[in-house]
Amino acid sequence: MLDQKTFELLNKEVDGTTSPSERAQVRKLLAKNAEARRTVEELQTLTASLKSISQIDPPSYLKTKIMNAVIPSTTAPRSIQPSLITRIKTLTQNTRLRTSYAFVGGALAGILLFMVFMGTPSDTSTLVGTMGSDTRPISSIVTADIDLAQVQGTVVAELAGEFVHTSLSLKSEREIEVILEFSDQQLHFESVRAPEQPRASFMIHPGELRLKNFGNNVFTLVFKTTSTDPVSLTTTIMAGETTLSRNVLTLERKSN
Amino acid sequence: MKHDQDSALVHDCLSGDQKAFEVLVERYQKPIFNLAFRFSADREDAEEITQTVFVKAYEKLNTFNSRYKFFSWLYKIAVNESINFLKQKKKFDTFDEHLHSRGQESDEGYRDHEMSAKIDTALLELKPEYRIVVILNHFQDLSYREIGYVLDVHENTVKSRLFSARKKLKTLLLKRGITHA
Repeated sequence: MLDQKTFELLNKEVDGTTSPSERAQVRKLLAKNAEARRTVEELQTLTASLKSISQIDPPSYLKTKIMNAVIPSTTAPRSIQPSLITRIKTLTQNTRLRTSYAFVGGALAGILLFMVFMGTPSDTSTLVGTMGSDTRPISSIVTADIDLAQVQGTVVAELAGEFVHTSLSLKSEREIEVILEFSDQQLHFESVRAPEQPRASFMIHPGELRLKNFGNNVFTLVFKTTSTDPVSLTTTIMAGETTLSRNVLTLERKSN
Repeated sequence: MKHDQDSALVHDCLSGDQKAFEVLVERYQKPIFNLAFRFSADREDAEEITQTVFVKAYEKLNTFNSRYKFFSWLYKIAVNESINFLKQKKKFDTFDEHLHSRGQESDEGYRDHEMSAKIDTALLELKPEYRIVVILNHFQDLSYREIGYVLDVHENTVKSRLFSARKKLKTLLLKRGITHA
């Protein structure tokens, strides 16, 4: 039986990491020791067996999934982002923007003076076109409550201007899958914010978004739309192959 | 050369260029996915681990020291995430059922698949600290020193774990009838 030191030396030889003096030692050993020769042969066989396993390709959508998870979570890595004070200093040092600052400052001062002397208007809708206007009025909100044995929660979809914000609060004690189907002619997927934990994930396909949930999580999805027709989101909740529920949320622009 | 390119991409990314990070994802998603797959023997788990690794890498990019290779740093995160993920799933003791759920293989690929499955099963029978050195050395071609950096252990510990793992693996493969490549 080979001692540990000799076994290590033979391993190094198979890995090609022996020094010239160690290599000479191995040669001598192999010439006179049959067990050493057999060990080298077995190690070479093992290495070859492991090398023969080909690498597997990750799924084609993985890169998109990663980038979608990375981008909504933070706008940029934290390090080189300057501090708030540095940013303000940089902005104030920019001579090209000084006129804009003066204008905005003046406008704000004017509004404040107006509010002090005239009071705050009770109906902001009369301020259309001014800084008081709501540029992205909420046109429609629809909600669906989920109250099943295996999953509880709420789905809220809100149409505001060009955007549809969808929030899914889910609580499940096993892994469930939520499939959101939509017309990709009407809704353009913008972003998803998913919890950073392994049991909550999502996949994006054309016209379809699949979320996996386990535990208590909130997912926020943003779509863009320019459609004037009603837009629909179909939410299907699955547990394995079983469909637990199906809801259709329809959002319609309200005419003023 | 690649090391310099990676460092430049990290720098660009830290300056706000998200496309630079996309290039890093494109470059390293396959080795990270393979590492996670060899460690977990489950495609879905490997997918989740890979995603978490890149999200963590993005968030911690400011801590990357360009004296080291980017992929070694990324592997460090990948190893930690793989271990944490499997601890959460308490999967260290179960190893067989996943290997049968990889989908249909072609006839010619069957033998390779069978051998690959046997090796994967044997790998899963190794202790995690042994399994990871085999994965990093044999599947990811990392040197003893690089493995030491990834695992935060001395080079001699890497050698000791690797050689012991090979001894154990050889016995496990013989038990499964794999005697030659």
